[in-house]
Amino acid sequence: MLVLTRKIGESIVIGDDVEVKIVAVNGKTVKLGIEAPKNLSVHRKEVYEAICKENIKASAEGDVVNLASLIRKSG
Amino acid sequence: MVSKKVLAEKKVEEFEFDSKKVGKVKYKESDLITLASPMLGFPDLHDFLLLEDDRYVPFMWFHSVEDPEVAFVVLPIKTFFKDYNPKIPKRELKILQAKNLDELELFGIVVVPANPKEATINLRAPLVVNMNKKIAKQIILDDNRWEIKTPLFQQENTK
Repeated sequence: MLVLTRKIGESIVIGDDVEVKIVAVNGKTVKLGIEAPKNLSVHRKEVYEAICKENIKASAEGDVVNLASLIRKSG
Repeated sequence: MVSKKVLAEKKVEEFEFDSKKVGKVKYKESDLITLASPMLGFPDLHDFLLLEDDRYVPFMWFHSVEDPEVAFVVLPIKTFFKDYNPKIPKRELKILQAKNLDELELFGIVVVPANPKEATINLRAPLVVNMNKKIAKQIILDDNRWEIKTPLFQQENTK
């Protein structure tokens, strides 16, 4: 991992199209501003990882026929 | 039993593959739904089919065509969550070539555990599909009203 030190108001440029700016620092919290092209998604890491994990879990084997009959009964 | 479908005016090519989850799947190229961005966790898959069957209705399979072992159980969210009204950013509407939300169908990806009563649906990152243009994308909402692991059955108790 590349580690750089920045002061408030300073930025980092990634590739040609992404900029990350240190907007504010409040105690242990850092506020970041991100400029990126529309086709690139930007997410908090823990949300991204949680979705990834959930998708992988979802693609595993599961008895959908049984689930369907259960939901039809309760619906 | 193999049959080739030949339409009167022109030949429409049918493809098929064997799915571990649903057996033999036949489709035409016009049935394919293409992801604008890959599903998180599955960076190499882009072409999918939406499969329906009486055996598992109201659920459907969002099935990869490129990897016959990859398929997701999905549910049209509005059928069970009538209050579901997430804000989809304009930039995402553009990517899906839709002018407004009416042109899009929102599906939740379902996790089916060993005990089906514990099944959950991901309302935080719906699979958004433009059925007319056959484009789809899993959109991560910036809204923590909706949970990644929303139970399918507890919902019934709170009605």
